[in-house]
Amino acid sequence: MKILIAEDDRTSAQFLINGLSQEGHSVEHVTDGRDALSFCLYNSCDLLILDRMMPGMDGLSVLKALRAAACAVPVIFLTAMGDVDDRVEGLLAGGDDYLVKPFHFSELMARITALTRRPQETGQTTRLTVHDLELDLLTHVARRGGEQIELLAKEYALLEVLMRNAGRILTKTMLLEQVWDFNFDPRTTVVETHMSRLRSKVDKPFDVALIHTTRNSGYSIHAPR
Amino acid sequence: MLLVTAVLVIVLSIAGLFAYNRISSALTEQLRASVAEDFVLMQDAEQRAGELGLAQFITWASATRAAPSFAFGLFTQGGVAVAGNIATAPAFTGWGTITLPATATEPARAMLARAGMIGDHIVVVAGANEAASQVGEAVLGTLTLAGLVIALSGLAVGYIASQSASRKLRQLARTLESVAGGNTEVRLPISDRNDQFDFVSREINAYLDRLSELMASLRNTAIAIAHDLKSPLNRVSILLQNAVAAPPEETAGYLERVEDEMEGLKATLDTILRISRIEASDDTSAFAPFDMGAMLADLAQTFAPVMEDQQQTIAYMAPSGPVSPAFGDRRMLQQLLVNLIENAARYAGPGAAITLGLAEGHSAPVVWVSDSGPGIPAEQRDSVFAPFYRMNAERDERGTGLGLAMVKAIAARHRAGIVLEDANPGLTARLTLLPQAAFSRA
Repeated sequence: MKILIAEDDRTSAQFLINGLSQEGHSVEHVTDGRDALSFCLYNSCDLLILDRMMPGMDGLSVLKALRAAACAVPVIFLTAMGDVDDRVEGLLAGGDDYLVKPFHFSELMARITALTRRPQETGQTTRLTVHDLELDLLTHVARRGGEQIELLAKEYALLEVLMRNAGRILTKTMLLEQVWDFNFDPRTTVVETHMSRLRSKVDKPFDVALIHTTRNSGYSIHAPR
Repeated sequence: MLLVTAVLVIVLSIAGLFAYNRISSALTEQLRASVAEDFVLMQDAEQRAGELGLAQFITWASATRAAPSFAFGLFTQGGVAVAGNIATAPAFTGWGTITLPATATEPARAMLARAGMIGDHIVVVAGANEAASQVGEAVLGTLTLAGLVIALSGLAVGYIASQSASRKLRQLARTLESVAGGNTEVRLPISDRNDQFDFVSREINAYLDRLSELMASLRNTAIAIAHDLKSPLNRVSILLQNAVAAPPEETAGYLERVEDEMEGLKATLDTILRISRIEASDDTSAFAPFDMGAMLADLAQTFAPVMEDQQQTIAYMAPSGPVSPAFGDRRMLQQLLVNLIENAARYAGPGAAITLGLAEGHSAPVVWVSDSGPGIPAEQRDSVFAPFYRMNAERDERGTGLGLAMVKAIAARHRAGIVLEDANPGLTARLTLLPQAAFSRA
């Protein structure tokens, strides 16, 4: 995948270039907002990672100009300003996702994966399946190996988000946003507790675990490999 | 002040002229009456004693009542002077003005005169108009003098008053300069006169009170932030030193702990930024109505397993009647409630029961989070909202102390009331929201 990084801070940019190159992406780098705009308009790229504050032209203006020019490249915003208002502003301007600095590289990778595969699962699915686990989206009933699993409302919502993104790592922040609509990190272990309850129902009675934890990254559900 | 004085002088001059005219015409009338009376007396004398009687009267009158106020003259029809002290017969009959030539004692002067025939003779009686003009001048002078005195005293009083005003203004300027210089403890003196200066001074003093309160809180916050950032930085520094000294296979473990510490630092800084941004803005454009009951039920579900793991319980007590929709930023208010719930769980201790409640207020919901813990002493209930405030420093090592500061900022953004009350036993945090109408009007 060809990724353009528009970031004026050398250290952050180098961190991203190294990480993304290692993941096998082809990475271009600009430090000025105007360069980012012209690069995207005259070259093809699959993803733009855009810093909010840049010399020449700020990230928000770059994004607005791109969208005005009907350029639909997926955009992930980076910002040091961790606030809802920024986030909403960025998403309204046509940004696809939003990441507050400093962040874990795994968080960025999780979001890139989610973003670039998003269009695949917009069909009218009524049933999600991972290995022998089934989730009926209409009746909200979960079955594993044909056996019905009783889930509480939050456990169901958590499982649905995991299964919709089967095979991908979802970070704690992503789960808080998608399951609980929290745009902040609670001090208590909300995600961990619900995840542990879900696992005790979905995985514990069975031989094979489907829900996996990756330290410092997040959670994923996938069939045994 | 000068303008007022000038206007005063003009008004008094006009009044003076008016008085002068009135007085002088009154005196002239009096003079005419006196002259006419003399004429009657002379006609009488002529009728009783003939020409001789008339001549005698005029001679007597000239000698006793003449100069400088009166003059008399008796002439033949040919204009030859017979008696009196007027040398030449006037050219008119009836009322007119004659001018008497200068004498050794008197300057030449104009007199009001009446000339007429009595018997075969021309008789002239003249009276000086001087008295009239003298009185008028005296009045005019007095009024002018009064005007000047009033104007001058007005100026003097004004000067003294303005001196006092400018002294107070100078004091005000000095005080504000001192505040700008960093001394927020100075206050303006309030006199017992209760004038406009005292009113303004009281207002300024109230602002200064608020300012020094803010500065003190800012200072404390800065110190608290420094302290809160220093402790994790110290830990990171030690961990890094250990990582360097440790055998290679143990390095990763230390670095993971460093990463955890950095996460904590980031969370603290994010929260501080969020609080200050929430406090700085009064934008309500993102506010919308939503169902508070649904949010509370959802939060109870979210936190039930978390509380259970801590040997605590949480329950939402749904209201018996209908409740108006809440109006505000849904996610912000959700964070406010999460902070209250987490705070209650933290301080109420194991075994505590947490209750979420909802009731109808004034066309808007009233929400509360109660716990069955030890509560907070009444005198500490206000200070717990300050950033980095901790009830018990040792007990709460890992908390950021920002939870309730965030609650206060979000409540203020919604112009909502937030109070801590005794739950007998335990603590109730009560949030009173405003109806949507309160925002559209603003």
